[in-house]
Amino acid sequence: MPENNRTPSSFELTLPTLPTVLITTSMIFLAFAFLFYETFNMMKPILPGYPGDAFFPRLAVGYTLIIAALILLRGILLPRFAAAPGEPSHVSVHWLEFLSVAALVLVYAELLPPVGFELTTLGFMLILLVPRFAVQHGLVHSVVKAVALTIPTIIILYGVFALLLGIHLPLLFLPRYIL
Amino acid sequence: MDFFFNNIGGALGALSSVNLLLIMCAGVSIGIVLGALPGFGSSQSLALLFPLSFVMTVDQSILFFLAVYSAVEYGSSIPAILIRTPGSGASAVTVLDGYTMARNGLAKKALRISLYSAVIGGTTSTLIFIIAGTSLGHAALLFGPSELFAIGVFGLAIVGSFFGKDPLRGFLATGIGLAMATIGSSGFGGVRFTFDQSFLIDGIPLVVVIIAFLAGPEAFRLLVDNRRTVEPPDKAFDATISDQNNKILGSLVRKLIPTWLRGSFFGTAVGIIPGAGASVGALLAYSEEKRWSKHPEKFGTGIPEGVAAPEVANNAVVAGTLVPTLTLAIPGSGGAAILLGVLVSKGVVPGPNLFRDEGTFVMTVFMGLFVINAFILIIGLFGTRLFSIVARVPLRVLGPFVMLLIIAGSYAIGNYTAHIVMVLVLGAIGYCFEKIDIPVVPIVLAFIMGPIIEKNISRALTISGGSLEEVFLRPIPIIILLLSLATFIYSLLTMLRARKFTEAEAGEGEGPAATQG
Repeated sequence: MPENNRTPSSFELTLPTLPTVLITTSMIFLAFAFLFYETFNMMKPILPGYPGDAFFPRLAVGYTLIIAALILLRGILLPRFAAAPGEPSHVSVHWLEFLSVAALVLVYAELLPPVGFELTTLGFMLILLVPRFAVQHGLVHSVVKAVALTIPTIIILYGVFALLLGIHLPLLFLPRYIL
Repeated sequence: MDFFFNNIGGALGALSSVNLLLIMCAGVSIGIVLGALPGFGSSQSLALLFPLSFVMTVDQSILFFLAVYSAVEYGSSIPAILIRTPGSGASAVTVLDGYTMARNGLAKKALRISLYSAVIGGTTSTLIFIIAGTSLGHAALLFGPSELFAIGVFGLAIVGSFFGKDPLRGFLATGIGLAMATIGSSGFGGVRFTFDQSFLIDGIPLVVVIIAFLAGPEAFRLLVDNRRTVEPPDKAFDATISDQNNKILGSLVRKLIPTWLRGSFFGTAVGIIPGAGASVGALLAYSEEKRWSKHPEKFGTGIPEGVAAPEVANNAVVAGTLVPTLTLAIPGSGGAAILLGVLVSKGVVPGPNLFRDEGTFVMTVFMGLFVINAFILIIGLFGTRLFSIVARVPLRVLGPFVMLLIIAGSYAIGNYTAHIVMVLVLGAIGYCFEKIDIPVVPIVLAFIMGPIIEKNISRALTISGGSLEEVFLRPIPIIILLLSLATFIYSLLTMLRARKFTEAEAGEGEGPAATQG
């Protein structure tokens, strides 16, 4: 089995499972209560017999509200039965890594059109790969390995997406068509 | 049988196309590679490849995705046998005997048994699928919109019950998926839940939901949870393989035939039940095989039956899941949901009418499954050693590549960077949901089934002039709706029973310790 040599760090957010589930469900409940209210602003039925635009959304949102309410009631009134069998008492997320990855993807999406697919992808992959290779290797070795893997990846993606699928990737120097 | 003979010619004609054969061959190769990646299951693989369907015809895309789906189920046994890390949950049971065989120097034999079992499971279940699918498809032709609505509700009830450890959270996920499916134009001039945002008028694209919820959480898990994971070197992987010991002899084949037949039956049956999936099929086949065996104590010590049973079953599940998917538009698993998504995105409406209106297409799928299994056999025989290398890709290095594929795939939907952001946000939500055991697969299944259910209920109400009694109080719909309610209650009771059992076990475990202490 894979061995995880992670050590607990201050960037690790550990939360008790049940309260986390209840807070998440409360947020879903509130959001869906608002959506249920929104269904009353939808267009009224115009065809005879047709139940109207709001009918199915109201059914779906109402059903979700009932289920969310059941989860909340169970968690508050019968907390002993709220946890699923074998569920851990705590959940943990490395929030810094999670936010870094999310931020990196956002930056990638923003830079893709002006900078071009090739450089954006190279930067994105190097930022993610080098620290991961560095877990076992030195920095120079890690950079070389990351570059060696990223360049063929860019070429393969370019071949599949730009040439084979004809997707309009914002390319910087690679040709759009190879005749 | 009329259906078979009327369409077989057209199906064989379609399958004789070199393009289609190459596409299936590519699908099998890609599927085995993706399956061999540790922890990478069929849903994630199909979700990542979804953008490829944009340039394919409906025949090509469905056969390509079926090839990938079948091959992933086989490929996932490679890391299970070689490095004790199942490629997907379905191969987790294979570890017990497969890895032990590998450690005993029988890696090649275990891999061969897994390959033959996969092909036999796939082929046998295809035969069952042809009989069950056509019979069910024709029976379902008698159903009207209210019956189909009730069947959709029943499908959702099963999907909510089976995924995840807590059925209530499964039902919550189902509701979220249904609500998401209502975003955008209603088709009758109105818009719903768009909040004046123009990008929501067409709704959330199906591809975005599939990639975000099926591949997104996996990418985050690989990048965040496995960022420093180092797999230990494994001697079994490099074990010296003596060809003499690794031969599959006729006596072994004869011994495994009953195992293959039983496993195929269990796998197909489990596949037909929406939500149960390949993991349940493999586990059931393994435990049944152990029950039938004269030497149950040998299971787990590296015996061929212990590899053959789960592998034949998890591959038989693929054709099994197609029965409710094609006949009733109820996808039985994440992978089947993507297949349904491919069909819907190509304008093909799954359901009973598919068998009447698109007979040749359905028969092409049936026959294509045989060809796919033949490709798995050929490619598996010659490429297993090569695919084994993939099993050694470290998890922490895999993450960036998966995320890059997700980004490229989301951008490919209309060359729109906003889709990358949508996938990122929904994928992050999916990752957080999985952390607290809110399953994400029901979100996708409900998102796909939602419009089909809405269309049927709206049609039924329009036909009945808006009379709810006429729609819901007909015999077949009311029976199916009551069954849905029974499924809902049963799943909650099962969870309570499982909880009591876990508590009792924990109590027993603590008892002696407490006494000793």
